[in-house]
Amino acid sequence: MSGPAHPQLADRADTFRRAQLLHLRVGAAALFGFAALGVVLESLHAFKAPWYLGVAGETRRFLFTLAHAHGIGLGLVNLGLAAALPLLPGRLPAAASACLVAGTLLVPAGFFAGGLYAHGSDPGLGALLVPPGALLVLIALGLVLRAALARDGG
Amino acid sequence: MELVLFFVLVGGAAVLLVRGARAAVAIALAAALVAGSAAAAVAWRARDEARRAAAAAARAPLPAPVADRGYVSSDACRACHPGEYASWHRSFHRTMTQPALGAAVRAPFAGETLRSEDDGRTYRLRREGDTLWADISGVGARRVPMMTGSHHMEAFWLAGARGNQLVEFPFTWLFDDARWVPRRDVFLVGTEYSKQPSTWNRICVECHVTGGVPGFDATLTVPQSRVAELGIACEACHGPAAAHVAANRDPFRRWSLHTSGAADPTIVNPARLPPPRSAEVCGQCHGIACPPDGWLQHGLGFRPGDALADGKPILRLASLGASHCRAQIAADTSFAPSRYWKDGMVRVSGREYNGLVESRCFAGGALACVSCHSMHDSDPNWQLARGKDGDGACTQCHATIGKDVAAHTHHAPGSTGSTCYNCHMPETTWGLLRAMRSHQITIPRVQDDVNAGRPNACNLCHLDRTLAWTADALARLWGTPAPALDADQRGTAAGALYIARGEAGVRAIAADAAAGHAAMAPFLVELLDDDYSAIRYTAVRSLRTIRGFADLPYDYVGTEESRWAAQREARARLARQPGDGVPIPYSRGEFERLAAQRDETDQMFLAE
Repeated sequence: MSGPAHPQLADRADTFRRAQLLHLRVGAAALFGFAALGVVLESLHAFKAPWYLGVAGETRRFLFTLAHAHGIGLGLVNLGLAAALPLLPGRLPAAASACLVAGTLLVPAGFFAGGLYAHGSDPGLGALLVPPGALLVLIALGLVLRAALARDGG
Repeated sequence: MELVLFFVLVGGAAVLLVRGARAAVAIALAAALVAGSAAAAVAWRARDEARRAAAAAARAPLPAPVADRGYVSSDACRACHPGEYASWHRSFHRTMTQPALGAAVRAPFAGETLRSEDDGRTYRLRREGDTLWADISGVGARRVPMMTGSHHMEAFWLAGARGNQLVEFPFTWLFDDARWVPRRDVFLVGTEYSKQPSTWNRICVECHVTGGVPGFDATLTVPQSRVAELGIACEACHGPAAAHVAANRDPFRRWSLHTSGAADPTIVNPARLPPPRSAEVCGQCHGIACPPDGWLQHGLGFRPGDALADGKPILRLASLGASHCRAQIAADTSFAPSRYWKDGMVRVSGREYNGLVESRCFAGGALACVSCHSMHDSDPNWQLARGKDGDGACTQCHATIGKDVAAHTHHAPGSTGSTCYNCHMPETTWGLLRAMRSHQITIPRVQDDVNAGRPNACNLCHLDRTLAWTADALARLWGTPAPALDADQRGTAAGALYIARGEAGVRAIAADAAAGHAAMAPFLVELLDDDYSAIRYTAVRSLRTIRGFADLPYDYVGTEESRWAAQREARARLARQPGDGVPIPYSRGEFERLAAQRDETDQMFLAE
């Protein structure tokens, strides 16, 4: 016989649902945004933009490519997490979601900003955002791993 | 703007962390992110500014960029032609002129002190970060901002006093010897010949850079030189590429050209030009020329694909009197002997186009530099195209000979005597302290070479044979008419004759050819005390290839006393050990008799 859900359980379901929705949205947005960046980069190739393709643009080209690849990759990670959340045997702390979302912003955006203001073979200031972003992603993935390895119902 | 974007991203990430978790750990992470990023940003900016200031200082004394002639630089070419860029990047053309910075410099600049006999000053060399400096006695610290050469030696340039003048540094670093030598001692130049220090802006800017403009003022004393690019880059051979770059931003145009295989009219491809016009692209620098009036102010108007005769006419010995530079040439009695053999064949390296245009093969209209050379598909050393480093270069036209080379050469197949280059392009030009191949493709005839005062191809191998022996062989095997020879030419081995009686250029070439010829050792020992340092250098280099002399101590720019001592030591070694092979008759008296006949009324300088 089914009855009204326990308030704590309802809260957890709501949190769970919100986390799923967050990663779905962040993942879709990242995929859209960085796929669009890919189209822009291809166009820069097609039209031989010297700012992008010249030797002086080598660092920029490399960093933009990294931004594109990491943005797409992290977008897929977010979508994967949204899909995998119901399967996790352990509880995923809210900090894991926050770290992953912040990392999804910092890593590709850091590469992009670093490329935008590249000076010769040196990236711009934005590249400094990549290491903390990577650390946040790593923390998030560690927490996901911990939840995945937890005993069922833990 | 960069800082704003940076902190927007940091702030955004911090908000995401705090709002997402609202836990102490998330807040701590966000705080650490903001504080750490801010500190790192400050440190980064400070380092960045210092590096930019250092880079600007390093560039300061170099020629300013040409911005108004349609050049885009090799950087732009690389984007679409990475393979060609890479092959050019490996070449010594690229590094012909470079900023003298950091690891690009092979010379030590590690505190060594050199003394110049020319100006009596001492030069203490040092590095300061990436830049090179010379502390010059009586002058002070002077920056050494630029260098020429990267293949055999490095020459350096000092920042001058007028405009962006660059003045010849009085020493050159030799790679093979890993040592400094006085600048004049890398040239074949007589001790009494006055060779003034060069000004880069007046001479080298013409060919050792791309799109060089000397930029002298009206009095021709103060230069503000500009270059499209240091070194000999893409646009030196393909022409200014701004229009090409602009046109090819259109991807449909590019695809259309790729699929049709048609030439792109917006750029010059020497391989697609008619052979004579293609050769002119190389000839703009690899030829003896007199630049047009006004070039010291405005640079050259010649561009690849143009007729060289219009923009930078080549000077051939036969028509020097008709040149627009005839007045200058007439005033310089050494002009012709410094550049040509008596019959008009060019005798200095780097002027191969002059040799080519005098060749019968060229007159046929099918031969160009790219018939044998390639910038993009070759070893950087001689830039011979794949398959053209042997007889293949000649047999691509002379196919009948190629079917049985030995029947034509009368030498064993595969031997040096059966190699087309050795007989038809012998090493009778001089430059960079070595003999190099003539690019005037000729048929060996003793009479021609005797008339021109030049070693002949056969006797550069058969040094132990007389010219008469060679003439007999040529007559017997190829029907060549017999030459008129004097008694010494009939009776003395050509190698001995070239060294004993030859003028400086001949002695240098013969000394180079004598490497590995044990029978030539006594004659090479004689040259250890030659007046010309370049000859001494070549003689000892060849002597050290002969058994018993590899460790002979000798400094070709040392004092006379030290050279005499080394010569005595070499003579003692000659006396102690029998030479390998058949000896060439040698006596001091006979050598001195022949040496007294040398034609050296004028001091010589070969203008390589």
